[in-house]
Amino acid sequence: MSGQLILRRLGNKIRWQQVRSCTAVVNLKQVQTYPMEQTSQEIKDKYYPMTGERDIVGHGLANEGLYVDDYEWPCSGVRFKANTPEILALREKESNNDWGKLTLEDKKDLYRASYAQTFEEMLAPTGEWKRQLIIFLFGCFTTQLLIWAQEDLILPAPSAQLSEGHMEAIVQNMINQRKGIMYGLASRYDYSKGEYKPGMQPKGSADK
Amino acid sequence: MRWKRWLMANSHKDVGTMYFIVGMWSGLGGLSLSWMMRLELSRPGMWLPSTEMYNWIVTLHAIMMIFFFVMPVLIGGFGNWLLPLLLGGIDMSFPRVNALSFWLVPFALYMVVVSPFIEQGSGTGWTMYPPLSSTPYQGDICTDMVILGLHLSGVSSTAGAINYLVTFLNMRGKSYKAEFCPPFVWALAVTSFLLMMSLPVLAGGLTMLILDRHFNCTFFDPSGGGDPVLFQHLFWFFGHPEVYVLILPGFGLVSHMLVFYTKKIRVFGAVAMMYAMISIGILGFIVWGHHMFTVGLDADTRFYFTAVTMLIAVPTGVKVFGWIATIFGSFLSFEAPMLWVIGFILKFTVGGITGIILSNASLDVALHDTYYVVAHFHYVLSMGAVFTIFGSYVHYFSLLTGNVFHRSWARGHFVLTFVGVNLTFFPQHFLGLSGMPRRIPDYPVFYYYWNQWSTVGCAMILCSVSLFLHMQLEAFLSSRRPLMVGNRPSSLEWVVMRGFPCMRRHTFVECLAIRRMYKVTNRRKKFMATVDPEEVEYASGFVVSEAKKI
Repeated sequence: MSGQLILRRLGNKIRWQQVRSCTAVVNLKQVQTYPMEQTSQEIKDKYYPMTGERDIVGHGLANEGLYVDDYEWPCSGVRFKANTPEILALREKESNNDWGKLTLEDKKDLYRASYAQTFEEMLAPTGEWKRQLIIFLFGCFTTQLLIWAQEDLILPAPSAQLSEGHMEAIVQNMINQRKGIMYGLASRYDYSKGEYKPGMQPKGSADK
Repeated sequence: MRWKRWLMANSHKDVGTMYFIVGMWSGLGGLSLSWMMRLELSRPGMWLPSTEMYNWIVTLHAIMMIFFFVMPVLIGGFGNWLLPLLLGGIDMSFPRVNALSFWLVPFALYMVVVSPFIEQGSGTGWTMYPPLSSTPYQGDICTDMVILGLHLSGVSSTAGAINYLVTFLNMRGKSYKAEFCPPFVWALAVTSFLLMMSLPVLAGGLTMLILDRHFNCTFFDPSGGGDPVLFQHLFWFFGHPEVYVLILPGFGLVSHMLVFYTKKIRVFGAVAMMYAMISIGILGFIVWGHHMFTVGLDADTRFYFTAVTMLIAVPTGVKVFGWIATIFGSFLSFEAPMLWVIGFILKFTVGGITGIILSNASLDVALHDTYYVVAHFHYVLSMGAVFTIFGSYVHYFSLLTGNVFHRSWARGHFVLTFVGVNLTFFPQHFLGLSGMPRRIPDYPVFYYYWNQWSTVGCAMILCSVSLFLHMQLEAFLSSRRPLMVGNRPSSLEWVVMRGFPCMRRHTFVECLAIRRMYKVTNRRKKFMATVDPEEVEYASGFVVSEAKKI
C-alpha cells in the first residue's frame, strides 16, 4: 500500500505466530502493491473505481487514485480531467516536439487537463470568513435571546439589593468601614475631604 | 433483530459507538446541570427551591461530566474505535469483557441520575468527604446510590483498562514495536495503567465509607479513633491520577490530529512525547497532597507536594513544545479539528499556568476552594479534554459514520464554543482572586458583575452545543461522503478508509505485520537484502512463489 507500510513480512524464515493471544494461527494474505502508472484497466476498476478514464500518474495523497488540490502535496494520483482526443493530441505534441513549439494556450490547456487550480488560485481568499462571522453573530443573537428568556421567563425578579441606591449604600458602607485601606476601595478615598481622591472614583460613580 | 444486534454487540466498533451515545447523552445532561448552576448564580439571591438542590446539582454535574462523559467518550468511544485499528489488530483482546465494561456504564449512570429523586439528593460533591457524607449529614439512600454508582463505574473502568493494556501488549504484530506505536495507543496504555493502579484505592475508600455509614465502623470518624483526612488521602490518591486519565487520551488524539493536518510523518519528538506521557503518569501518583494543602499537613510535606507538583510542568511542557514544533514549518490550513487543537494548546497552557500558581502551598491557602480553582480545572478540562473530544469527533466523524460535517458549520461551532467557554471561565479567575468560595448557591453583590458574564458565556455554550447537534443532524441527512483522506497515512486508522470502514464490524480480519520503513536499521536492511521475498514462509506454510503458480 503506502511506501511507509509493508503489509507483508519479509522477515526471517522461521515460522512465527502472528497473533499471540489466539490459539489459531492466522493466514497472512498476500498483499500486492501495483506500480500505479502501469496498472491494467482491470486493476484500476478493482482498486480505483472512481478514476474513470483518467490517467493514474502517481501515488497522490494517501495513495488514493483521486484528485485533490493541495498546496503542500500538489501531485495528485490522477489527472483532473479524463482524456479527450484534443488533450491526447496536445500530449503527443508535447512529448514528441520541442516544448518551445507549444503555444501559451496549449500549455494552459495541458495544465488545466492535469490540474484544476494553480497555486495562486489555491491560496486565493475564499471569503468564507464572512460565513463564519454570520454563524458567530447568529450564535450571539441566539445567546441574547436565551438570556432574555431566562431573565424574563425563568428567573424571579431581581431583588432589591441590586437596585442602584442599595449598591451605592453598600459602597458607602465599605468606605465607612475602611475596607481595603491599603490597595482596595478605601485607599481611593480621601477621608480628610470626605470625597474620592482625584480620578479615583469607582466606575459608574464619577459624576457623583 | 436490530435491537439484538446492539444488545449482543461485542465488536470494538459497536461497543465504541454505544460508548459515544451514552457519553454524549451524559455530556448533555451535565451541561444542563451546569446551566442550572449558572442560572442560580446569575444574580445574588436564590432561584432554586433549596440549597440542598444546588449541592446535588454540583455533585451530579461533576460525576456525570467526569465518569459518564469524558471517560466513556475519550477512553470508551475513541479507545474502542481506534485502538485495534491503530495496532492493526482484529478487535480488543477480550471482546466480551469489553461489552461487559460498556453495559456496566448505563447501570452506574442510572444509579447516579436517579439519586436526586430519592429523599433530598446527594449534596456531597464528587469528592464525598466525610463527615459531610457520613450518616448524620447525608443519611439518605441517595448518597449510597451515588457511591454504588461510582463502584460500578470503577468496575467498568478497571475491566476496560485491563482489556486495553492486554490489547496493547498482545494484539499487534511481532514486528510492530511498542515504541513505534502511535501516540494515542501510548496514551491509552498509560491511562489504563493509571486506572488499574488508582481505582482499587477509590473502591477501598468508598467501601470504608459504606461501612462507616451502615455498619457502625469509624474509619473516618474521630469519635471511634478514625480520621476524616484518611478518606481525603484515599480519594485523592485516586483523584489526581484520574485527572490525567481524563486528559492523557486527549493528548494522544491531539498528536494524531496535528500530524494529520500538518502533513508530517510523526509528531515532533515522538519518543519524547511518549516518555513525557509515561512521566506524567508516574508523577501523577505522588502529587495527590496538593489537593489537601489546607487540611493541616506539616510544612515539609507541603513543600514536597509543591515541588513534585511543579515538576509535572516539565513533561507537560515537553508535550506542549512538541506540538508547537510539529506545527512549525507546516502550511497551516485552519480546518475545524486544527482549530480545536490550537484552541486546546492555548487554553490548556493557560490552565497549566494557573495550575502552577495553585501548586504553591502558601498561595493555595488563599485560593483553596475559591472560584480560582474552578476556573483552573475548567480550563484544563472544559477547554482541554472537551476541546480534544470535539476536535477528534469532527476529525474522525468520517471514519466513525461515513459522513462529513459541513465545513463552515464545524468551524463556526468552534468559534462560538471558544468564545463561550472563555467568557464563562475567565471571569471566574477574578471571582476566585476576590475570594468567592466555590460550591455556594448565593453570594454578596460584590461578585455580581463577573458572575453575569459567566452566565452569558454559559448561554453561549448552550447555543454552540445546539449548533453541534444541528451539525450532526445535517451531516447525517445530507450524507456528504468523504471523497478521500487528505493526508498520507502515517497511522493505520486511515489506511483502510476506502469504502465504508464504519459499516464493517472488523476492519482487519487478521493481525497485520507492519514495518515502518524509515525506522528500519541498517543491519535489518542488510539482512533483508539477503532474503528472497518469493521464498518467505508464512505462518500457515503459505509461500508467495507457490501462490503465484496457482
